[in-house]
Amino acid sequence: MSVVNVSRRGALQALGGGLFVAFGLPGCGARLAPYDPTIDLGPDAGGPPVDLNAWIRIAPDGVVTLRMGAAEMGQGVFTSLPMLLAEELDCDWAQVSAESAPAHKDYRRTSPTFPVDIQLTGGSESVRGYWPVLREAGAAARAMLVAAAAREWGVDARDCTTDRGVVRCGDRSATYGQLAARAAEERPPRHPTLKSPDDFRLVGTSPARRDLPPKVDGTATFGVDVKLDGMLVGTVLPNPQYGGRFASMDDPAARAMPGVVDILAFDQEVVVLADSFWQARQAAAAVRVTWDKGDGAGLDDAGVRAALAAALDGRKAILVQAEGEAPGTGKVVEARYESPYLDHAQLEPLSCTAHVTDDRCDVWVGTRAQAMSRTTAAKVSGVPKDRCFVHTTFLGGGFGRRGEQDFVRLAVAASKAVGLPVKLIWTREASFARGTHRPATMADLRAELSQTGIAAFSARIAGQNILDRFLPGMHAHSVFGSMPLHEGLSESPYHFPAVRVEAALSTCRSPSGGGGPSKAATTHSTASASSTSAPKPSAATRSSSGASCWLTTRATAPSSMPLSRSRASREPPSPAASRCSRASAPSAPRWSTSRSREAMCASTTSTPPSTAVGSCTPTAWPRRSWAPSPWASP
Amino acid sequence: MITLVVTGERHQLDVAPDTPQLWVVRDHVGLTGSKFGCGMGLCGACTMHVGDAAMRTCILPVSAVGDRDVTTIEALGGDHVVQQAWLAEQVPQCGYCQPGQIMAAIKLLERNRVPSDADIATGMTNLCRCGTYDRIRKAVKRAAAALPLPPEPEPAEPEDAVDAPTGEGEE
Repeated sequence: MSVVNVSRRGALQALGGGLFVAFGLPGCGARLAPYDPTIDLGPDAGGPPVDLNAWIRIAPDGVVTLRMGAAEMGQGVFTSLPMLLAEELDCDWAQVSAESAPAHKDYRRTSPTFPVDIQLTGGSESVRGYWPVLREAGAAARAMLVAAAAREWGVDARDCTTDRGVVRCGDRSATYGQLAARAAEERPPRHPTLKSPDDFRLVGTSPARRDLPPKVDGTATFGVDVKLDGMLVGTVLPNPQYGGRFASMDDPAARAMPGVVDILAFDQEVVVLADSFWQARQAAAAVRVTWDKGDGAGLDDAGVRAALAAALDGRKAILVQAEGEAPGTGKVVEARYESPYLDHAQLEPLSCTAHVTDDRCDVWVGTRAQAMSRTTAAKVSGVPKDRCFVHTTFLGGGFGRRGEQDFVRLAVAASKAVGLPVKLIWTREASFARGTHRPATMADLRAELSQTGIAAFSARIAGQNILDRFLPGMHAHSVFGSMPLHEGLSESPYHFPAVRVEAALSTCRSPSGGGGPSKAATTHSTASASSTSAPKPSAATRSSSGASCWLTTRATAPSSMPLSRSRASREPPSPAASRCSRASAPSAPRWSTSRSREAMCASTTSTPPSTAVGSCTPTAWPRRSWAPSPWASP
Repeated sequence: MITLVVTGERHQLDVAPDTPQLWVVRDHVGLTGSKFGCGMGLCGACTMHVGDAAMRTCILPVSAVGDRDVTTIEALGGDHVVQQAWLAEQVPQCGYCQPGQIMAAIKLLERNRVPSDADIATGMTNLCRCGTYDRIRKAVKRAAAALPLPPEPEPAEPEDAVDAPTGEGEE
């Protein structure tokens, strides 16, 4: 069955042209051009290049440009995925260029994990997920090129062969570049014939990475490198306290600093916009923000550990795996292990560039979640989704953080507020302060020994489920939905005669996996197979002992809107907004356009300087917690 | 106004004197190959050559550069022996730190034409989040092998003989 609509051209028609990020890979030895938003795809060599489908563009000189739906973050998809296409297209690898596809449904892949097609770079699924899609797209384009040649020559297509970008029949031959325009008129086959793996020429080899020359000569465009005419550059003061929100700020001194254009307050961040990054960075240091600590007040490492221990020692858990019976006669070794919250610490700090106009929203970002970024752009900008365009740059490290949407949302909101292109660059400190950390875990591991090895292994792990925010309701509490917590313990590659794995979802919902405002239910109602008690109501989610963890951000105001605007038109008054009065005498911004004053940041001069911004330094995790508990034996 | 010489080209720039060299080069000169990683001189993604030294420019005030010539990754052009070694060993993954790594490696090799593993470990302290250190080490050694060895030292004055490199008199 064909899984790909090989006539997909919707994405190309929808693009409106002209705004591809031209950081694609050099083909045929051509040097990578620096980023220029006016550059269209590909060179014109004797006529315009032709799109055979959403993935494949062939220029008259034979250069094949392949659009990659996955983001290149160092894992090599700008080599591996073009290989899949080029294999079936049977083109010359030396003439292949790759570039980033826009966020569009046409560039979805299959998912070995999820039952839907997605455009998301993650889960080690790019090659597996695009395997059928790109092979069929390549094979379909090849069939169209062959059909065009056969029609031209008046021969049967079955008598034509292809080899490295050339169609041959008898003593006649034509290059793909020569045939492309006519091939585009051919009807794509419904069920393209795929190569037998025995005939693979590229797949199974390890050609040089196509993305490395620009990464070695400094011309690769990462998110932080995007530059647009008239662009403001901003930096971010994130709320360092999960669960809290913006209360007030004192910013006249910052506004008076050179180059500062605007300062915007959002629910979870303050954004300082200036003519250049350093000016924004300097001004940000002069802004005094007071954060309402909200539910997050008092959360510290001790509270996190207490919540984990409570979950681990509690009765409820998801029974993930149970096979065999422990003999109960052997020596038992067991230990409790802990791991702390860890920041993704991708080397390129978070950055995103957005340009929102009345009828169009463009986002340039190193994102793993292109489709979600497009949805975010539409939601925040108010521009219809089909007029929102995500241009994926190289990622200076992906990890989990670049799948999040907070930094995309913020750039779009800032651009919308000021009506200009905005690039936001988070400082390292800001990135750490608002990380979406790998969750802390606590686990009891137990092994019963036999004469020859381990007779029975059991593990019970407590932690947060990073999928809480994405999987509604009980799904996050299923064996499948809680997989990030127990993956590796469950379905271990080791063979144990008896295995039991349980996952206890912690009620501690500090910044795991994501960290933006969470809509996830915090009810700790696990589908427990190991407990016979009825699920308790959410009272269990907060301990009354004072060691409770922050649960979830209150969804009282969308943090995509500057607070003063949200108060004026969208949101009911909130405590934070009501304290947030407009600047009475802001320094005159050097830049002025028709932007509304309502969109500007609220400020107050009466609020004393806050130390909240500087309070993001994480408390040192107790060193002793790293060591397993002493071995115990019965 | 600040005068900055980047790869032989003189720029007159209207920037605050305390602006870090990195941001002057990125935002005002317009060369973005040098990266911002930590802003504290810790990761080395911002490494450029300032005069004879590889320097972490995110904490280097532009006013402190003076008239020293600044060289960035862009000036190498892609064919530098170290860049070619980087490609031959397929070093980068995400690639973000690599311009800084390459700039640091060039200065290391100027100081030490035959660096040992330990020399590379102590002489290259740039961070790579992807963990390409093993390939960086191989690439530095490959580049070292491709570079001509420095000329034999001049016959030393007697009082300096004890400090001369090893191997003296064996040939």
